[in-house]
Amino acid sequence: MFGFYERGLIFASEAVRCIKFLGLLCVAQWILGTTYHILLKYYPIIPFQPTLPPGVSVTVKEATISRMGFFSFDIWGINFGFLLAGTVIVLIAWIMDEGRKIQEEQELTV
Amino acid sequence: MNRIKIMSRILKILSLLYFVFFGCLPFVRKMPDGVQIVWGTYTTFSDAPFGAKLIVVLGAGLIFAVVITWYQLLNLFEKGIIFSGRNVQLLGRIGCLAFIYGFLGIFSPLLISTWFAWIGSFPMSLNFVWISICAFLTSPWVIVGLFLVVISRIMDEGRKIQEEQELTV
Repeated sequence: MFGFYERGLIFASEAVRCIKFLGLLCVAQWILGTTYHILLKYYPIIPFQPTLPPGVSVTVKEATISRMGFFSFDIWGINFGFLLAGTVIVLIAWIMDEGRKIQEEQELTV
Repeated sequence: MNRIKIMSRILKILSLLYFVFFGCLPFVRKMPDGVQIVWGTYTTFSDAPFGAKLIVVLGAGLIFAVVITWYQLLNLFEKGIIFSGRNVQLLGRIGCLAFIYGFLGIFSPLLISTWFAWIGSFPMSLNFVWISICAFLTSPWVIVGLFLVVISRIMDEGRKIQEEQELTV
């Protein structure tokens, strides 16, 4: 994408396609990540437990960390940050597509 | 054009719902043993030093500015105004605010450490300098901010093309 911009091809269809692909990759990453976390919640991976000597025990405590940060977008344990980023990038791709149409129209004007 | 208007409307509603119902305090994390504010853990928010509280307030101000600017931009997209000078200005502003937010988030421990060294409480930790520089180069907010500034320049080119086309008889 930056290669196209470097050559001055700002509203080229290839550049628009690159941005759209980036946006869709973000959304795909969100889908895969969310699916993985949901599966992990219902099918947790049991860690390897070594044989301990007599009198020794291991206590596992789960700490809950709630993040109240900008753009953490954690709602009900699901992070929507990548989904939002992907949606915004796709919106930018659509806007660039409008620019491409305007440029093509202008190039065809005699 | 219609898909841009519909998406803008959806994003407007979702953004509003998120900030009304969930809100956010920047650089604050609720930990099991207290509250983590700007990389330091304290029992309550009031135990945090003045510098940390100031950074949280500055961060909240930046977020508020971004939300308002974002809303204004989506309003223009919803009306079908895509390539205008106002759009370019708003998008560039969001990019700059995101960059400043990223800068603040990364260098806040260094700023607090410098403040404590200035008032003579603790010596300044040089570890923060190196950590901050590395974090700055890989911060998503810095990258997003710069990306949005580039996009605003591209939209400015689109605006010039559209204006030229509108003047063509």
